[in-house]
Amino acid sequence: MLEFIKRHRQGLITIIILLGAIQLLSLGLRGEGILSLPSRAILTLSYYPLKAISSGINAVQDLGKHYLFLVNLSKENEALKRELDQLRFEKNQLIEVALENDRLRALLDFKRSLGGPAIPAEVVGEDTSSWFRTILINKGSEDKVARGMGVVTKEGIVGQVSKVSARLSQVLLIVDPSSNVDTLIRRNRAKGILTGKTERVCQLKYLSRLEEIKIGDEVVTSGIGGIFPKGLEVGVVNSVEKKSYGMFQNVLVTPKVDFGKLEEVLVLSQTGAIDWP
Amino acid sequence: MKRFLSLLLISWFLIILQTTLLKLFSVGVVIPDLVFLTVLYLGLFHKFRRGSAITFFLGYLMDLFSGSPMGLYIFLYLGSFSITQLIREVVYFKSIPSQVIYVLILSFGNSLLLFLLLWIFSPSLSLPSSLLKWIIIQGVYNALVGPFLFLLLERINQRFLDNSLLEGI
Repeated sequence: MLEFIKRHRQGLITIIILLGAIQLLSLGLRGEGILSLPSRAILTLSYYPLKAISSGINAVQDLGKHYLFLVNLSKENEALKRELDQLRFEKNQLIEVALENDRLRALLDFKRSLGGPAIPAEVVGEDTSSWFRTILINKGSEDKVARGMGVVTKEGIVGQVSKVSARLSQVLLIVDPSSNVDTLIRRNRAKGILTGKTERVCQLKYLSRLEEIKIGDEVVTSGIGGIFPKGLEVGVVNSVEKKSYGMFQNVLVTPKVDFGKLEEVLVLSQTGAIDWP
Repeated sequence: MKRFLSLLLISWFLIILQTTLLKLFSVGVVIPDLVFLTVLYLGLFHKFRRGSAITFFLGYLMDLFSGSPMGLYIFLYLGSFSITQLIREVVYFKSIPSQVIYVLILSFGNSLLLFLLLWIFSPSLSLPSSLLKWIIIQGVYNALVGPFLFLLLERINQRFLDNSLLEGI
């Protein structure tokens, strides 16, 4: 027996580790907070490099964009060129500040229109995997962000806070396959559950085939579940398919929010919080 | 211990890179999976004990920084690492074509197993109809990036860590 264990030690260890991983997976699927303390610590530690890299990327991208617009004007002599470059750099910074100001002003107006408290946050990272849809924001439990809170922009709903550390939180986007949001069609108040499809499109499930849905219909939150207030914009119906069988119809929705261009979001601090005092 | 911690730090850095910079190189929904490629590199060129510990940490970080349930990537990565450790005994993996083919096959297998597990544990999950297309793109993308990353990691390993870590095959 001992001989067998010695000979197959590596294989046995592998099997034990894999069984342990399966056990972790089943606990993870049940939503139990296993390894929560080290997870929180690693997420908190990751805040600074994430913030630094994402700020760097944004700065370089913005600089590149605006520089292309202005590059045709640089037919001056060498002495003036340096001065011009300096002015361009300063101008780019001012344009970026002005754009950010516009975005934040719009966000502030939207925050006021929500009527309840909301926490502004910046997007600092995206999902590490190609198969899940989450983002990382620069606000955490220190800013009173809690798991389960809704996240929105002025364009529409973004998702729900799924993991929280001291200074960093993960938001499950509505385009993730495991996201479910109770919604209704604005025109005829037909109810359905909006779920993600990984790509930039969502599916409206459990929508009765008796309801008449049209392409272009607006989808809004129903307010049920307490995650999002009623009437927030979600998306627009882009395809309706009624098969000759079944109780429901197949409706696809394009979200209002462009998830590839998310920069600032609002966390709705009075909704959906789990373990909120 | 110092070398081990250095490898853990590199793993953490790769995860940070994957959440920020790599979105600039995305093809549709797909980004090159540097973390998975690192797991294959560990499987191909490192000893079982150290490699499996770092693979566990990489899987744990992936579970933490992605929307996956905790344990999914730990299982997938340890599985890929173990298979690689077994296969490297019988296949020569020093040439670039062999590495490209191996990464391609393992990437397909890894993605298919991921969705199979998700489907088993959450049957109500709504998966995209174009899933197979993205799985193929992910595999090809990884296969193209893989040999270069292996080379880079090997260089880092030789230059900054310890030569004895590199077993070679």
